Order: sequence, then C-alpha cells, then structure tokens
Amino acid sequence: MRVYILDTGGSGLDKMLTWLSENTRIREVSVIKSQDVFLERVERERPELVFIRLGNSEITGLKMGQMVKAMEQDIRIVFVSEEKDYALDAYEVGAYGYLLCPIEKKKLDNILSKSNNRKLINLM
Amino acid sequence: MIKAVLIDDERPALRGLEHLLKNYDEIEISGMYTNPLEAIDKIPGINPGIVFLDINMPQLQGIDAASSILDLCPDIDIIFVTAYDQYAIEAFEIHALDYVLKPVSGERFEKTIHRVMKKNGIEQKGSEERLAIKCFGRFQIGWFQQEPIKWRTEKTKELFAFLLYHQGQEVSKDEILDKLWPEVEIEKAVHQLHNGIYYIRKTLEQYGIDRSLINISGSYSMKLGIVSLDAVLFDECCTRIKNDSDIRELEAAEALYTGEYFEGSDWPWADLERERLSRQYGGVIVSLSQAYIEKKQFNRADELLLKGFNRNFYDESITELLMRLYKKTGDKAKAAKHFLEYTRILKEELGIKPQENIQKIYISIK
Repeated sequence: MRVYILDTGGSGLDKMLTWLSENTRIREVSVIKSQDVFLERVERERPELVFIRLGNSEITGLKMGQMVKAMEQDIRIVFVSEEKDYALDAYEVGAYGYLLCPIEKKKLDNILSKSNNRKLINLM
Repeated sequence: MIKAVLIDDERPALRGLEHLLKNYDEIEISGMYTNPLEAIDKIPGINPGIVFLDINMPQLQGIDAASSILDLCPDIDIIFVTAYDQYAIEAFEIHALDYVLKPVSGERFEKTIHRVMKKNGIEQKGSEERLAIKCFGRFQIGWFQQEPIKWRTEKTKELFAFLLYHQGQEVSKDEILDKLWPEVEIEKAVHQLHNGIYYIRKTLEQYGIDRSLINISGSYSMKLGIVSLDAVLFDECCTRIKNDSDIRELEAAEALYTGEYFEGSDWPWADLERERLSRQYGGVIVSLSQAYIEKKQFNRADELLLKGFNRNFYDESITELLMRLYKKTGDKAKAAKHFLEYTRILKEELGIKPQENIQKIYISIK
C-alpha cells in the first residue's frame, strides 16, 4: 500500500509517521507539504490511501479531499484534525476515516487494517 | 438486489426513508423497526446489506445499536440518518458508510445510494441517451435533448475545450499553462489549472457523465467513450468522401458544420483548427454544389452556394460556381444581382476587380 500525507503545517505527525513506517503492509509513505505538488503526485501515482491534515484552513483541506475524490473515487481519504467539528463535512466528501489529534495508535491501526481487508476482498 | 433494514423510533421518519428508497430498484426494504432492540434481534435472520439507523432513540443509542449489529454481522454497511451532527467521529470509528442529517434531501440521498452501489460493485443505471459535444457554433456539451452543461467559469470551459481539442493525446502541463494562462504567474497558474480540472470533473459528475464517457487522467489527457463529437464526425465524414459525387457523405458533412469551430470564443489556441475546419467546409460546399448542379438540383445548389458566399465572400470558386449555375438556369436577374454585389465587395474591401473568368461567364449570361 502506498500512503501519501498532505501536511500543510502544524505538529503531531511524527508519531503517526513512525507507526506507518512500522506497518509491514505499507510500501511507501510520502509527506508532501505543497497542495499543488500533492495533487500532481496523487494524480500521477494514485496511492491507495491519503491522509489530509485539516490545519488552520479546514476549508482548503476539505477541498483537497474533494479534489482527490473527483480524481479517483477509489482513493481512500483520511482527514486528520484537532477539531471534531469537521467530521460531518468529511462524510460529505466521502472520506474513509477521520482521526482526531493527538492520534491514537489503536485508531490508526483500525483504519489501516480495515482498508487492507477491503483491498483483499476486492482482489478476491 | 441489496436488502435494507430501516431503524428509527419515529414512524414518520421511517416512512420518509421508505419513500426515498422507492426511487431505487436496486434496493429492497426487508424490515422497518421503531425499536432498535427488536431490529437487532431480527437482523441476523434477514442478513441485510445495509442498515439505515437513527441515532437518538430512547431504547438504545444508535452508535451502540450499530456496534451490536456489526458484532452480529460485520459486513453490514451502516448509514446513520440523524438530526444530530455531533456523532460523526464515532460513526467514522465504526466505519459507518455514511452519515446523513435529517431532513434528508433527495439530492443528498442520491449521494448515499451512490456510495452503497459503489461499495457493492453495482453500476448505477446510466442514461441510455447519448452525450453530444458541439464544437461548431457555440461550444456546448450535454445529453441529447437536455439543457447543456453550465460551466462554472469561462476559463473552466476553455480548459475543457482545450483538452477536448487534444483528446486522445497527452498534453503537458507546461503547454496548458502556456496556452491558457500565458500572462499569469506560474504558481498561480498551476493552482488555477488544478482547480479547473477539479471543477470539470465535478461538473461532469453532476450531469451524470461518468468516466466511461469522458475521462481526464495522468498528465492531462482526455479520453472519450461513446460520445458524439461533431468536429470528429465532420472529419470522419470528410475522409469518407471519395469523390465529388458522393452526395450522401457530403450532405452529412455539410449538416454537421453548424458554425465556426468554437464560435464566439476568444481562444487563440483554437485559431489554426478553426481555419482548417473552415477551409474543409468551404471545400464541402463547393463539392456538394457541383454534385447538385450535375444532378440538376439547381435550387439546392443555389441555396447552398449563397450560404457559402455569405460565410466567405472572397472564395472565388463559390462565385464562379454561382455564375455557372445561373448560366445553366438562364437566370439573368440573379446573375446580375450576385455579380454586382461581388464586384462591390471586392472593390470596397480589397480594391480589386473580379477575376477574368468570372467576368467572362457573367458577360456570356447577359
């Protein structure tokens, strides 16, 4: 599985990165700072899973999610936020998950294992 | 067929959902419950694919109900339908497929059903109608006999047209930026390009045009499925025309050209193609008129040649053919009227006289 992370600022992703890199099913993790670079790489390389951080400007984060969905519906989007308030918007976008900061390993694993199971089912 | 169970402690809410679900043949309601405990009891026997679940119910909170249901049948997709927005996080944690606020609009519900179908690998019934793209005359795209697509901005429309012009080929980002945003700072231009692509995709989706019909991928290439695109049909028609007497193909090509390529648009990148197609059409008019004259369909030839003349006054072959036509029909009045008008335009616009052969034909008619 390839995982791309759009991180436009803020802290707290270090732990998540460690956990992701420990996961044997994940082949590649890339952290991308620029929205435009992120969109271009997602467009070209079609990762299976993307994390989008809802930082100071939630509107653009959600919009990024919409843009990824419009590009390819099968890409799974997980929003990462300090706030609970955007979870409903995340459903509108069609997000796959929503993680509250500080991120708990259990909840991250829950998302990863679930998305892996689905992948296996799809392959079968 | 997907089996659905509906759970809400308020009966009117259940009826509302039932009503919404009636629009979808692919979903069958296998149970409606006002008591979640009863529903949980029955669900393993029903084995539904989806459960619509209210959150705030006196007997059991929806999130707990969902957990119990998932313990029994982990493959069920839960869709929360609720008046409360504060449980969306919990909904994500149990991987609920959707979370919809009451009152549910038909439009929002459509989105939910779309997710259900996608999840179950069911293609939603697409329209049997054909998608038509019109490049001749005013640029339009839309389902046959329906309102054409409205674009968000003129630039989005231009970007779509640009990709359409290059359909089937990869276009580099640099080329798009160069042609569409030549005087815009690079960073801003890239941003606008991404936005433009996004709005195109969103608009296509809104109008129910899926990727099998129009797909934009990779470093910007547009692929078309079964779509009627007039400029392509016109070109195909023209290549099928083997000789000047192939009236049927000529007529088909003539009918397709309903105006200049992207008429009324100020898109410099389209100029060459516009000129090419216009020249091509000029050739079609001349060939078809000749064919009509040969078949002695003089009225048709007259009408078509005058149409061609009004489009392009300076095309000598059209005036020459008109003169030959009037000589054949012996219509002196028409010949005089046309010759004088042609002479006047040439004099006013270019300061020249009609070619000698045209003058000769005219004199021979008089």
